[in-house]
Order: sequence, then C-alpha cells, then structure tokens
Amino acid sequence: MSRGVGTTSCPRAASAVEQDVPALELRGIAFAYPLLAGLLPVLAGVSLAVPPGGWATLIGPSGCGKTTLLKVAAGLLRPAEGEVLLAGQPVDPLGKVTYMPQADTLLPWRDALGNAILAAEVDGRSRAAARAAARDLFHRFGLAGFEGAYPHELSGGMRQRLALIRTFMSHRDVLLLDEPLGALDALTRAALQEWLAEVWEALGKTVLFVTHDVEEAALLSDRIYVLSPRPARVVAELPVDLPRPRDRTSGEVVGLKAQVLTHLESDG
Amino acid sequence: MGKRIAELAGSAVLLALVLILWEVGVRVAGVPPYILPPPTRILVTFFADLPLLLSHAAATMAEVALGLALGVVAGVGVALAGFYLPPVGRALYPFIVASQMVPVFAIAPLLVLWFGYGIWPKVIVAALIAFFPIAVNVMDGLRAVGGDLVDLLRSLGARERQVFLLVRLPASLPFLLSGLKVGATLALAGAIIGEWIGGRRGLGYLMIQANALLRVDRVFAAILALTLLGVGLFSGVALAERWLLRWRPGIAERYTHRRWR
Repeated sequence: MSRGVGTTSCPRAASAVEQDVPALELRGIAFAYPLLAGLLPVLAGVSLAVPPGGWATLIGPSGCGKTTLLKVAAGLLRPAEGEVLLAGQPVDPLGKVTYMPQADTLLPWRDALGNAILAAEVDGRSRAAARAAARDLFHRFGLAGFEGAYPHELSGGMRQRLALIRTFMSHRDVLLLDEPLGALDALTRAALQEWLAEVWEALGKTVLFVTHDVEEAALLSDRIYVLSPRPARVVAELPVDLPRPRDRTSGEVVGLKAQVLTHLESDG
Repeated sequence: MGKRIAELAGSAVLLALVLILWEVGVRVAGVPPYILPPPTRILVTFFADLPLLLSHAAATMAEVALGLALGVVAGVGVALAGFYLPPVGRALYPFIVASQMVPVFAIAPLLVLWFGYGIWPKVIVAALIAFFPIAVNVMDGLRAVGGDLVDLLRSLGARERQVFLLVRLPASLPFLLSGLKVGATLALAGAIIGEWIGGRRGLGYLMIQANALLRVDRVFAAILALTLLGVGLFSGVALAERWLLRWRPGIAERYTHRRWR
C-alpha cells in the first residue's frame, strides 16, 4: 500500500483546481512515539488521498493510531517518514488545515458566537464579518437563538454542532474531524449524522473523518480506509458510490457495513 | 434565596447569643473595662472614634492595595517565568516554597530597619504574604490548560502569544482569583504586623497605641474596623470573581439559570 517516500520535487504547476489532484494526500506516513524503552510504532506507512470536496473516513480498531494520523495530517506531529501534500504540494500543513480534536474543546468562557469565530481571530480576520457569517450558519444549522449561550448551557448535541460550525467557519478547505460524534447518545448521533452530511454538501469542504462506527462510515463517506491494529496500515480502500442522502436501513448501506466489518475482522 | 436567609439567620442568632453572654458576663462579674469592655461600650467607642478609625483604616488599605498589586505582579511574573522557562521554574521552586517557611513576621523588624517607618515595610510584608498563593495558583492554572485546546489553536496556525491570550490567560484567571482571595486576607494581617513593629499610621499602629493607654475599648473598635475591612476586601475580590467568571456554571446558577436541552 505504501508508496514510500516519494520524490519531493513537484514539477506540477500550482493549478490545484485540476480534478485529479487530491486536496489532501498522505504518502507513506510512518510514526512512532518515544517510550522510556525504545519506540512504540504507531503508523507503518499509511497512504491515502482525498479529492477536493470529498469525504474520506478512517476506520479501525481502538488505539490503532487514527488520532495520531490526523495529528500528522494537521502538522501537530512530524512523521518519521512520509509526507503530507495539500493540493499536490508537499507542505507543513500546520495552520493550513483545520483539525477538530476528539475532546470537547469549546472555550467555556466564550459564548457560542465567540467560540464560532475563533479561527477568524487567530487569522486576524474581521471579527464583525466572522460574527455575521456565524449568525448565518447558526440560522441555517439550527442553533439560532443560542448565539449568547455559554457552552455549559448547551446540550451535548448542541455543543458538538457548535464545535463543527466553528470548524466549518475556519476558511480552510481541508477539515480533519476526529470522532466528532463519538461521545453522543445514539439518537442525537443519528440526527447529527444527517445534519453533518447536509452541512458538508452545502459547504463543499474536503473532509478526513475518523470514526469507529461502521454505520457512520457507510452513511457519510465517499471512500473508506480500513486500518489495521497498531501499527496502522491501510488494509482496504473502499470507494462508496451510493447516492445521498443515504438511508441507514437500505440494502446498499447494510451491505457496505458488512464489507467494512469483514475487512476489520480479517486483519487481526 | 429563602434558604440563604435561613442560613444567615442561624449565624446572626449565634452572634447575638455570644454578644449577650459577653455583655451580661462582664457586667455581672464586674470585669474592669480596661481588661474587657462590654460589647455595648465597644460599639459606642467605635462610633465615637469613627473619624479616627477611618483615617487609619485608609492608611492600612493603601498598604494592602499596594502590597497586593506587588504580590500579583511578582506572583504572576514568577508563574509565567516558571511556565515558559522550565529550568527557571525548577530553579525557583525550592525558593518559592522556602519563602513560606520563613515567617514573614520574623523579618518584619529587618524590613523596618531597611526601609524606615514609612509605608514600604508594610507594603513589602503584605506583598510577600500575598505572593505565594498567587504564584502557586497561577502556575497550576497555566498547567491546567488541556492539550487538546492548545492543539486546536496550534492547528489553526496560532502563535504562542495567541494561545496565551485566547486560552491560557482566560483559563488561569479563576486560579488567579482564588489565589487573590486568600492573598488579600493574608495581606491585611501582614500590613497590621508591619504597623505593630513601626510606624505612625494604620489600624495596627492605633491598636498598639490604645493598648499602651489601656484603652481596650479602642483596641476592640480597631479590631472591629479591621474585621469589616477584611470582609470588605474578600467580598470585593469575590464580587470581581463573580463578574469575571460569569461564564462558569456556578452554585447560584443552579437555582436561577436557564438551561437548554
């Protein structure tokens, strides 16, 4: 699967609009955490590509290194081997993509609107414009009326929607989402999966998504990468060509789930 | 609200009981007022001496305010240095702890020797006392910020200055304020000690002077003034805390606040 460390020279012109150039590409990413005694290998040459406006999902057993891979893609961790490419260019992605950590990272001292415009503040963009844009998103995505609420006043589902709005508001094309729906109850989760699919289609962002919920992967993705247990490598790459919105009870989705599960179980 | 009044009523009854016992006891036993004056006499003296008490209280407050300001600057400064320069933090740590082992009261006479009878020895005693809880709390506050929050900001391309302003500073504010609450009351005690040792202004000076004249009623009036000052200082910080941390899910909110589900 691994294509190894490719040549870093990139003769291609910066016309990133070409359809065949992935918005995000990881090539042969290897990573190990230093321990007291030696290294703990976490990623063993992972390669993947997400086309512009596409949705790729990483699925794999708990602790297999999905979060580590996302942090590498975000530029928060430097891989021992391999490279990260944005629109075909090998780059340090730090600051160029948006990473949404798994934990609840809303700022408790800021109201919902203040949280939504965080990226604009970091970028030094106009706060007023960002607020106006955020209000618009609050309206479109069912949080209208809660602009002045503090995070602790919101329900778990609303907090997660707010965190996602903040992520979508970042003015970056590539979003790295680490189990954004993982901590929610089943009903809220199902509702947010549909919501997320709508928002993503409306905004046209490129998403690399981590989950360990097979159904979630089948419902949302264009492409599913099944990872092995640690150290992670890609054991299967499954393109998904199902129309949206998808019905979780349809035969295709159920069949796809079974396919993903087979791959997950086959690699012990 | 009714619950709170009930709690306060209990304390008020207890206080009234103690004062009545004191009043009756002193009068029945015939204790001379230069040993222990009855509460009514202390209250009369308090109001009669009010202008005197106020002017000395103002001097004490000035020492405490300056001392606290210095303590906050030094405490926050040391906490920041310790956080951003770990070797400096490790080098400073034993001295910060040791500074608490040396009783500040013991070095107060030295401070008078070095800085004279003016305001500075008291300011320095107050600052030395306030410094420790503030430094330790802010250090904990800076460390308490979650790695995920920092990761989120760094992934957006934030520099450390932005991480500090957007996350570390607001996250450590609650810690600073609880340090300040402890520091403020201790600083008041520190300033009084400084005034006992040398000076011509302040409630501590007034107490020493009245004590020497066997004006025990005035000593008690000064203690009453000092208590009110302490309560005021603490309440002031607590009020500032309530306002600055109004985003926090508080105890009061459990009764009154909206919650959306």
